Amino acid sequence: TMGLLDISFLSDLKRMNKRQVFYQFLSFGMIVSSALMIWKGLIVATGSESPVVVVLSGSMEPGFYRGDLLFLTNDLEDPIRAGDIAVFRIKGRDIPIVHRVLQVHERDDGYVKFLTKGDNNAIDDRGLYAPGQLWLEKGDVIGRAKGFVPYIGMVTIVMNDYPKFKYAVLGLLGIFVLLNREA
Amino acid sequence: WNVKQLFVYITAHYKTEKNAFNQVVLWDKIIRRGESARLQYSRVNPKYYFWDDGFGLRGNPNVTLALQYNVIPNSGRLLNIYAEGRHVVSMPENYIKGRA
Repeated sequence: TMGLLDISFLSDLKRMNKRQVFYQFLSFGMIVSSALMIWKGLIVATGSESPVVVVLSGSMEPGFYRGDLLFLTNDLEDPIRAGDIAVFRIKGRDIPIVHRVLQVHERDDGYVKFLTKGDNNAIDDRGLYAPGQLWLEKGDVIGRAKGFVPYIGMVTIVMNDYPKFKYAVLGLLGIFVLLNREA
Repeated sequence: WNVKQLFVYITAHYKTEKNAFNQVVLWDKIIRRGESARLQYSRVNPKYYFWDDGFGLRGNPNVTLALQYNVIPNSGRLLNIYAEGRHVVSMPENYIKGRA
């Protein structure tokens, strides 16, 4: 058990020799690598460059709120249809947008173009697209939402808005892992 | 039940010369948990303009209307379901000016 204010903990610290410190850093490195591997694995499995996204705006309320977490897949074989919830980026912009597909027009040769709209918006997204852009294409889509959990993404929004909070969390995590002695 | 909301919508499916597959949402409604799920409407105007990418709607003999709904859970999988029944509409050859 870990009690940060425990005196035994502090004396533990003194007893750690070089080898143990090295071992702790290795364990830390392994945790980071495993996390990265899981993330990369998800990217491959879902076909999406960003399989988990946080809802950033209220344009899909009351279905999704800011801070909800969405799980995406980007199966290019599965055709995009009206009603799908698509996460896309507009060329030249960073922010992913989560809206619903309002219209789909698909040609014989497989080329698809579509129009989107946020459930909570009065008008479709044409006004959001790049100047001169009337439709979205498959390439703009990061993925479609297949599942979601509410609230959890709020942590990343807070960390983004308050960088000091982010560093504090990472710092605490780092200290915790480095100093944790495996039972 | 794990259902937070139903997003109900009506789509029109049709084929044109330019595009082999077209799907346009004409109308939608959000039914939140606790609200009545029985909907009864008559003589409703489409909520969204029904226009085609091109001129493929004029005289189109086979425009199929379908009702779909998107189940948004409190948490978990998102599902898109087609309701039973379809209604086929034939578009007139001529444009009509003013309110019909």
